[in-house]
Amino acid sequence: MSQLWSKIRYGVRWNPAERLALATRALNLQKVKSIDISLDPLHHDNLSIRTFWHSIMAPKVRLTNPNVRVKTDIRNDRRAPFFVATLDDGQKLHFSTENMTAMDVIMNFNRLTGQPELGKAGTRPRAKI
Amino acid sequence: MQMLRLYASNCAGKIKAAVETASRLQSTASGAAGHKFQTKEDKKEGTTYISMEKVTDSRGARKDDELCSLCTCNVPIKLTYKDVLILEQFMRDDGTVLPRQLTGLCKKQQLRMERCVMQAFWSGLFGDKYGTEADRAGYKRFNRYWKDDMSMYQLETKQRHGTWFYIKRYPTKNQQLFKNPLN
Repeated sequence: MSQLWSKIRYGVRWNPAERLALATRALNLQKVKSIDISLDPLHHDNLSIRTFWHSIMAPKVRLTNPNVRVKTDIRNDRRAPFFVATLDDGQKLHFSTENMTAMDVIMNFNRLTGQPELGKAGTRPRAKI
Repeated sequence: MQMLRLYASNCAGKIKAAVETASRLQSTASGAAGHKFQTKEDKKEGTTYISMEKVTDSRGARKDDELCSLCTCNVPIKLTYKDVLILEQFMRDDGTVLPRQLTGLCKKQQLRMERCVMQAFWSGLFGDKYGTEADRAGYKRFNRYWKDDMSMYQLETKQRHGTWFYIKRYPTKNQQLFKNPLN
């Protein structure tokens, strides 16, 4: 009906796919030193960590900090997947991503690395490389 | 008999596991089997542990005959945009409406509540309590008052003769006499 209506109803529209897309846009690795991913590919609940892995390897995200070291450990025990992100100030973030959706992972990651949880919607200008 | 019981219990376990996986696939916020997950954050020696913990929903799923809080007789009349104090209980601090999963209203009442909130904004009843960011540009800058919560979908306008509506409906200044002048 109007801008007013959509603004008021903003919290009511719960669109996980849209939120995931916006959270991925807000990803920024400036304060991150390294990320150690550890997952069992045969575990039933590893989609979220694989999505996270995929989105931090995207060129636009890599360009925010090319010095990030991403190490992966593929296990063969049926244990839950997790990753550990080491920040510049020595802090560590240990995410056990079982039962999380990719949206939860990325939004929490953004929040704890000091970024906005959700990026800006709309078309973006092409990055100058 | 023993075998049968064993089989039955096995079956139940399998079904339970299947339902759990299904609910896990669905979403984080809610599950079919009443499993909900919540982010847990622990800080230990410079490491922040983030994981999901299972939350038991004390209420459980809504029954068919159960009424929502606005459908019962606790609120005797239909909610209108003038009941600002009731509407505020369903809103966040930034002036947006809580989703139905949190308000616990039925679909009908939730939509009515949302409509009422918008009308209350438009009629200026919230003042600047929720900031002035609400879009009040153009024709929405004037306060507007409503007959009903459905009246925002009403398309017919009532025309009253002899009001400003009919005065100077057409431009009178600097008009060409002819569209294609001959000279």
